[in-house]
Amino acid sequence: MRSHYSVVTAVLVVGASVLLSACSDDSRPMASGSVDDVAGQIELVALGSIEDQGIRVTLHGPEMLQSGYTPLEVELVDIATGAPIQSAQVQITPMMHLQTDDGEMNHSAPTEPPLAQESTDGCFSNPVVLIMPGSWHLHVSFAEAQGKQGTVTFDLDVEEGDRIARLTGEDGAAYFVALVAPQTAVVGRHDLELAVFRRETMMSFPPEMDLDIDMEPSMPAMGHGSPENESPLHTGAGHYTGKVNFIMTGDWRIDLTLRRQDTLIASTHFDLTVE
Amino acid sequence: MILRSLLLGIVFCGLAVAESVTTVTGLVVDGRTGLPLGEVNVVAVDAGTATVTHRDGMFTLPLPVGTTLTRLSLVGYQSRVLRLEVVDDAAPEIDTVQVQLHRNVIRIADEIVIEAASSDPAQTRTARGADRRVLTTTALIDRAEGVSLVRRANFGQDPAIRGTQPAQVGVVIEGMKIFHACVDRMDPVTSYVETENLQRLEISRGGFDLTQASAVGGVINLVTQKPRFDAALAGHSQFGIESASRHRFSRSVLHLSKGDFAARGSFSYRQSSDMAAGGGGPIDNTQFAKYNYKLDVVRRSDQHRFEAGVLADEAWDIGYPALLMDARRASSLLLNAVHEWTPEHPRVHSLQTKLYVSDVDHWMDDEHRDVTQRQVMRDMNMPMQGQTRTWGLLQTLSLSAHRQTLRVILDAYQLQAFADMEMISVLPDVSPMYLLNLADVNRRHAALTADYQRTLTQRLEARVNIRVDRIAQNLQDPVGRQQLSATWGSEDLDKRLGARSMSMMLSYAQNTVSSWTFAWSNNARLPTPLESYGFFLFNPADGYFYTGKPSLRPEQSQQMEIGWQYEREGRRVSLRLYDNRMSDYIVGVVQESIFKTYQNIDRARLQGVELGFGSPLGHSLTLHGDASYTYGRNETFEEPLPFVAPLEARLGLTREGRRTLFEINSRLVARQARIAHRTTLEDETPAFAVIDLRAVLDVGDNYRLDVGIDNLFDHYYYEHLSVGNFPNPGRNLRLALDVGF
Repeated sequence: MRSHYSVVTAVLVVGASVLLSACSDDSRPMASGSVDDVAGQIELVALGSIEDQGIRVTLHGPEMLQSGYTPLEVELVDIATGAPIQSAQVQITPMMHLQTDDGEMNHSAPTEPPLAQESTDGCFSNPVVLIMPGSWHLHVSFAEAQGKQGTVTFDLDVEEGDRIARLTGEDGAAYFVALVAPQTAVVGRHDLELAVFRRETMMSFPPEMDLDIDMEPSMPAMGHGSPENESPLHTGAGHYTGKVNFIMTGDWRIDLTLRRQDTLIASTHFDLTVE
Repeated sequence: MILRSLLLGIVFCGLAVAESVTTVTGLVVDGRTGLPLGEVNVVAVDAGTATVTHRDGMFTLPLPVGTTLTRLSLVGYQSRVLRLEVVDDAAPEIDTVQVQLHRNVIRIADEIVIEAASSDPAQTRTARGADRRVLTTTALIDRAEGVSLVRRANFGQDPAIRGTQPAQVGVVIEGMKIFHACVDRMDPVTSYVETENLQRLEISRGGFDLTQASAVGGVINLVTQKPRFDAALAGHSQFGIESASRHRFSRSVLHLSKGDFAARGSFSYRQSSDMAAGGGGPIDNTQFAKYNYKLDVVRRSDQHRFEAGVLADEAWDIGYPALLMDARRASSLLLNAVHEWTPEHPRVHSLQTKLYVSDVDHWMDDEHRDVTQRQVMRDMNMPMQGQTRTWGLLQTLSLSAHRQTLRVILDAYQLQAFADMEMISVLPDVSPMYLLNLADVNRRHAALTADYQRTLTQRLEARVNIRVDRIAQNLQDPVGRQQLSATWGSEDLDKRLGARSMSMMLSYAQNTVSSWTFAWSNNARLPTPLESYGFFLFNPADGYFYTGKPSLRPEQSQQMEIGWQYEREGRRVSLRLYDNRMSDYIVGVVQESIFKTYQNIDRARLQGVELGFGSPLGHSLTLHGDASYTYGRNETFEEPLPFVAPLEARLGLTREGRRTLFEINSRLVARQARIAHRTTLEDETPAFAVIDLRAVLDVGDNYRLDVGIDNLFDHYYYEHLSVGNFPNPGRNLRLALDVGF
């Protein structure tokens, strides 16, 4: 039986090359992880295109791929007409193949539910949380795209990032905390958004939705924090949103304490440099 | 025997009584009505003789040969001091001279005269008797009752009046607004004017004088010397040294005039090494150096007078051991142009228009500090910079009619203020930090004041001030707006504020020796730019970081004062009681953790008493003293108001001769145990007492030697308002030589 998966290795477009995209009128696709206009938006570039069943599948993502919350968009275009496909079900499944002493091991990573099935520009947002650096295979599945369905795979090399924390909780479970926003830290008070997942199996990473998270920003070199911060509260699908106040440029540390019903689960921090 | 007049003197004729003493006669009349004045006190200050005019205004007074200062005073009238010279002459001539005394205006401000203005030869306490022997502007201010100084270093103290804070006191230079550039007030306005340029200090306590500024604490107006027309070439220089800080100084002043043109220039240089407090060696990092120059030119005609001037002050390497930083450089420049028109009109006395621009810059850093050891901002160098630019217009129209005067004053200025700081870690791999303490504040301020005085009856005078202020201010730097929006959300940072103030004063001459004054005001103070827009301002007094609040309301103040003055034959007593009730009092309130924001709180109250006296003891001796006490309470938080000076008393004995002055002064300050706990970190301060000695000797007509010992017993002490309990100097020997020509 022929697999719906079309194993085609995409050429990773790195560096400064940008392909024109139909995902926005005259600019690169912008994914917003926060309502904060200043600090939430990330420019996306085309990472590669694969054609399958008369559909050109283009994967858009950050130019520099790093572990952590990764906003991805899948663009579907009808090759024959050149028109964007405005309705489809699109899902990205990230996979990593690890060679261990015990043999080969495969594992996935947390994904977000597809944000929409309709899109006027043919771009479908599908964020994923790449939990570690290395070589990832992103299997992009599409269905009900003009009656067609298929799967293409993009191979991406991901660098180590500083926006993901891999934790072992006091309960023995493995947790992944991703800093969704701010992606670009600038002076001022901004939305702070986290996405928290737990590893159930090597293939299953459900969101954690019942945590209490204390957030405390500080400047380690200065020995002080800032006022007017709000610890993040759960807003759905494992996302927690609060406010962080960067009162000056420099190195900041955001300390996080995760609790469940007053029981400590884990502590971690993110270091950012505010411009 | 003829009495020959001096250039600045008055001619009397007399009957020789003895070879070295002459009895002079005179007639004192009302300057407006010409009617004779009885009961006028006539005191030969350095001769030790005194008399009182008869009902017909006549008096006789024995005077020695030579020059004598003679003071004429009467309750309800402006005092006059005449310099008289009695000389031998071969041809006797008898004459009687009239002396006019003019009715008193209700004095809102006390005046400390430094040196006689050339236009008023009969001005009081010139030269030797005046405080020109006191060598700094702030030391002069410190002598006024009810005034305290906030001391941060051996340089530049900030005045506070009657328990209010420096931000509540207006300090102006002849009405011109000039703003300090340092967010920590390390460069107060008082540091820009040196004593060689001071003609007088006008100190108004409380919020009754609305003509100079919108201030609930009071106003200090630094009035500077002007070019003189009475000498084609004149000048003086002063050189001196003080031991407590090896403070070396020199000052020079030069006057030129020709016809209707006159010019005046001055230059001074001061350098101080580390200061020694009482009982110990020098305190590290208390040095400073500075120079100051001023140039003024005047051209006059029958009805017009044009002036232009520049005042510049430059100080550097100023140590502030009580603070985190030292001032690397403090620079100020004030340019002004004045036109005064005095028409021949029965109602219009004068119209004066003044344009000015000031430019103040301040740089501070901690390059000479061991930042690895301090508690706050450890391992961090923090260079900071500030600047203010002010453009202003001051226009005064003076009108007069029978028994009344009216001044209308338009006071408008635009201020641009900026301050920022960098933070550079001494540790590797730490990114530099930067923030804006004052992110390009733009303030436009206009005020209109009416100052009306009227003689109601023979004994009763009234004075009313009405003032309206309007400001429009905003924050122009976008990053600064972002910083402040983090605290205040989407609140509009562009603000317009207004304030209305009114004061009323009555002066009642109970009889010829005593009078009463009653003053009332409903006054408002607009927030300062720092209170409105300041960001991350570290206050060493309480260890908090302050953020301004754009929507602050003006402070409101209702004040009352009752005063009583007695003066007879050189004896004087004054007593003042005051009450200041404030609402919307601006104070720092904890926001969270180590952060505070400026807020309006409901109520605060200040009450106090000021007592002064002077009494001749004979043989040219005068006993004088004063005492002041303020009680302050934060009625919202039910605790004392912070940084209110304790009970203070001064007692002195002065012997003033024709060419000499000897003085012993004591200052006693009580312990201050009434301290705030909720609004700031304040500690109690112990009581102290210090004794100062001074001697001044005129050698010939052109030389003066000034010698003094301050803090005779080398006592270690600090003021309650001193930041970090920074001490006052220990025993200080002072020597200054004044040379004039």
